[in-house]
Amino acid sequence: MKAPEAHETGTCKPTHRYWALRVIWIRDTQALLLSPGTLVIVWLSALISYLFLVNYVDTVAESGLNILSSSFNLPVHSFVLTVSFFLTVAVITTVARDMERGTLEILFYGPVDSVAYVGGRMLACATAYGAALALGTCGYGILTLISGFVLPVSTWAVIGLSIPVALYLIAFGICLSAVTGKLRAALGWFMALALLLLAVQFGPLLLNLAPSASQYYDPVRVLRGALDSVDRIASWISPFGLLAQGTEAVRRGDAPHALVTAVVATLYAVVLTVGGMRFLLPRGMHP
Amino acid sequence: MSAVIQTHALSKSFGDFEAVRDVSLSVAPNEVYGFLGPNGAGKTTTIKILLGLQSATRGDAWLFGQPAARRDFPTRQRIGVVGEQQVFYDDMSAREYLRFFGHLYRVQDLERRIATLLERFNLTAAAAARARSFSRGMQQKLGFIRALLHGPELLVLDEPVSALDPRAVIEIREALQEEVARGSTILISSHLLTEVEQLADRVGIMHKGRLVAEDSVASIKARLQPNAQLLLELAESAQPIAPRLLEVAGVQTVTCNDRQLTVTLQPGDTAATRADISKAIALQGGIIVQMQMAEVTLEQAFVSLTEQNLQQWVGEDTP
Amino acid sequence: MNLTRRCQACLAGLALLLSLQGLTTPTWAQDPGRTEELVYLVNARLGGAYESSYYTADRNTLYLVADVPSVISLRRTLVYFWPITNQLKADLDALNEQIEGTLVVRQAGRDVAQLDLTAYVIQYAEGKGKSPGQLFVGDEAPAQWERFDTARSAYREAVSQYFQDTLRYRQDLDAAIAANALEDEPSAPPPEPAPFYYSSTPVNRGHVIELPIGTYQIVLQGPNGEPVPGSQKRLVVFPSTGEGVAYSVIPHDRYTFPETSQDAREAIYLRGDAKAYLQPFSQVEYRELYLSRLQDPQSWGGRADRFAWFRLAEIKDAQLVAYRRGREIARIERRPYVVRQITGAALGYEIHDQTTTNLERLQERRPDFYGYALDAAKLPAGTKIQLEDATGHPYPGSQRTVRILDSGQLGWSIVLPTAPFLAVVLIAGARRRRFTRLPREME
Repeated sequence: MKAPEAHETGTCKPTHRYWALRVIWIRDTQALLLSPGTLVIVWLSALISYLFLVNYVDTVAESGLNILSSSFNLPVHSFVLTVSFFLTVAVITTVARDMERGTLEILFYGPVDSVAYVGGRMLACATAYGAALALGTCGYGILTLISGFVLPVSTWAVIGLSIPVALYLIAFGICLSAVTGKLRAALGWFMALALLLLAVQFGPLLLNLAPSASQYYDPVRVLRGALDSVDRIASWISPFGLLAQGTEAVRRGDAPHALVTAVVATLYAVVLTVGGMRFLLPRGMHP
Repeated sequence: MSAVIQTHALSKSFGDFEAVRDVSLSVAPNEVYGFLGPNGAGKTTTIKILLGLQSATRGDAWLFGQPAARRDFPTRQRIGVVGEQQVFYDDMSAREYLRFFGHLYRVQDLERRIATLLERFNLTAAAAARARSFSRGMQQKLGFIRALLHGPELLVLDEPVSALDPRAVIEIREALQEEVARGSTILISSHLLTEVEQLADRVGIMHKGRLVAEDSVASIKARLQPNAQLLLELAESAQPIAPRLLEVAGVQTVTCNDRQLTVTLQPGDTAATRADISKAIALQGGIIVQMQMAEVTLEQAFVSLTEQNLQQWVGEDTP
Repeated sequence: MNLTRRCQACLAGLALLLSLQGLTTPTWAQDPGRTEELVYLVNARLGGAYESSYYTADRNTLYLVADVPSVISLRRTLVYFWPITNQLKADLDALNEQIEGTLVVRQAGRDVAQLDLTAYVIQYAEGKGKSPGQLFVGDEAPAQWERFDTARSAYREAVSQYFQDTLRYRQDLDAAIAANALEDEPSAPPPEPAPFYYSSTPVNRGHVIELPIGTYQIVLQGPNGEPVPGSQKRLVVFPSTGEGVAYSVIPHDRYTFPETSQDAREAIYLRGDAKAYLQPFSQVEYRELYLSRLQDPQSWGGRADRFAWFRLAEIKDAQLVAYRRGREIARIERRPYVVRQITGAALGYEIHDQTTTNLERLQERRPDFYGYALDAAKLPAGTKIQLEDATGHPYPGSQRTVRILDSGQLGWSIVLPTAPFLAVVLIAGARRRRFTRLPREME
């Protein structure tokens, strides 16, 4: 059959998509920044960081001496991981709820497509993360002035490196929501995978503390070896592993390695974002 | 001018299940098209294909002359959609919700437009309340405001007034009539004929994925001509009274189920017959608790249509 | 009935616990069974010294540092499991049979080297840990062993002579006392011979191997030209990944608990009134996995993508220079220090500069350590330190930042994490006002 004569429409410019993306970006950023959840998490993260620093200062006060490669590494790590973890859970909740309730369908009827939707959500999370990071860094800056601790260049590098890693984690959350389409499933999968990756990363360290067994082929040893082997691969896949690797590279002054981890994390973030866009196409509807 | 909506041999399968089969329809500009069918007939799937949310397995669908699956952004802005159920964001008031969509659709003079529509649907007083705290009727009206906000040329309404109170139905019907007067095209889907008959110029009836009939409302009604049914509920068992009612003039059949009576009336003015039935029941010592005329359901319409002249369409599906 | 079931459950639980405990507790009283197998004995050069280890048959990979000579040899010995250390041990005293042959080193299917058995000795002029190890091979090995043996014999003779002289001296002294003829200033006792630190292995035979970085295959070809079964192994030859300086940092009141600073990016934080003493050591960095396997082939820790420092010798001929904003502010000399234990309620240690202490008893003692003193009271904020040699060249990786902490001010910083909390309260309040309730007639 012959297609009917086309009605007059404007041209489909990227500006239309950009406009939708921008509106979603602004709305989500406002929602994230003004959400008590975000502020509570930032507060908790800052508190944990503060407690680390207090502990360091106490050590110096008691023993007169403390040697630290970077007094801010652990506080910064705890801060960036907590905030990015929270933002991922937040974005999973938002996207999965949009799909479950049907709010996504309403957007997709109108001038929003999966590119604008996922792009807007990603940028909102990135903005919120950047804002939290700026807030945290200001706090660290003030703490350095008060306490005398140094905020070394390596810490700045870790802060910078945490951005692609956080984006990777957030993109992973979006992709997971798009694939599962259900809030409980997406959150369940995310938690399970995060715990698995953390177990792989920190399992060998914990197993080191286990007492050695009487047999030469000790099961703890075997498990540790297996986890170590898995972690060697997982450290190039897991966002936590990439951050740990990048941090170690920064600490050793191995700039190319740090750059590679940043590039890999960015690549994953891009791939997963595009994946999220693709998966949302057939799943953007109220079931 | 060419059709606003056009489909040709549109089909959609989910595995072995064919939700839509060879649907070809056309909706002209400024036309109100009633899309009728029982639940599960394939109306919503067809609408989703038209709106680009699902891809067709076979066939074509066009909106404003563009393939539905590849609607561009300007075309998307010419359409307003209202679903059966409205969903809102937890953290938004009604006004913020409208503002968000207004920004998305790049509505000019947005605040004034929002104020006008809120006033039109009597929601101004509730504009600052959380949208999710609204009653069902208010939520539906808010959904209409969202769909009308950008002045769409085509309104797609999927079961828009089901389960709404009569006052809300009237308000929405009036608003739709205004939109028609403004020149909008409307595709309204429903499973109730009464819901669309006052608005629609033409009606298409879907059953088991097929478009089994497409005609003007008047023609469809003429083809249906169902016998009126009177539903009665008595205070006590209607068993002794039922045979007596068959003697009343204008009564065709009587079925009895304990205290319930279903009386089929002959076509024509039924008022006198209903009065005679009341009298007959009273004479037999019966007390009427409730009496009402049955609505023509789409199922009945479909049964009637298939019995009349649609055997060639659905022969293989009719048991 | 319930009681019986509970008892049964308790007994079952106990049995399970005991069986689990049996899995994880060393079996102390077992007689270790010995099995005869081929092991590679390795004297691997690491830093300036040689690390001796053996690779039992279950170890498939040997590890050596690149471009330095090491020695490996294949032995038939008895291997047993030693549960105390959870390791396989080689009983070389019971059986230590050298396997004759040529060690063939291959890479990518091509022969890289064919190494015959050579005589060798490893010697340390000032003892292991105080001087670098020297490997002497071929004809030089027995010659060096002779030199060592001669020196050792000379030392034994000197010690013997010393004891005889001391005995004679005491006898003379006793006689003089008995005769009441003791002079006002008795003659000096005989001098103690200089300590003997020189050490050497006996002359052994092994395959001296020095390879560039890479992964190789090794196999021993017997005298008949056939490969010796079980002698084929993988050989990883790895480089160092960095050099640096480690500091052992001794707090002034905790001599027995020194801290270590291995990384130039580390900062040494001192309390305002604290003193610390720095002992610098040169160090080399390797991949953690390779280093741990080289030191102990049966170790199971370490990863190839992580790094570890290996400490070499103490740096003695350097000065510690303090800088602030790029300008030299102090030059700290390496000095001898003696440690005095404080008894009583204030149990602890005091560290005294031996050259300046007023305590006579400490002046006479041999120094407990040599180091560089850092006095927080004399250091301005943001001081950087580094070791420099006599020509003023800095030792790579010897830089550190020294920060003085004033913990009293930290209390103010509690405001920082509470700031977002205050924001939460404010925003929550604002949000409550943002939404109105539905008008009553609309509810």
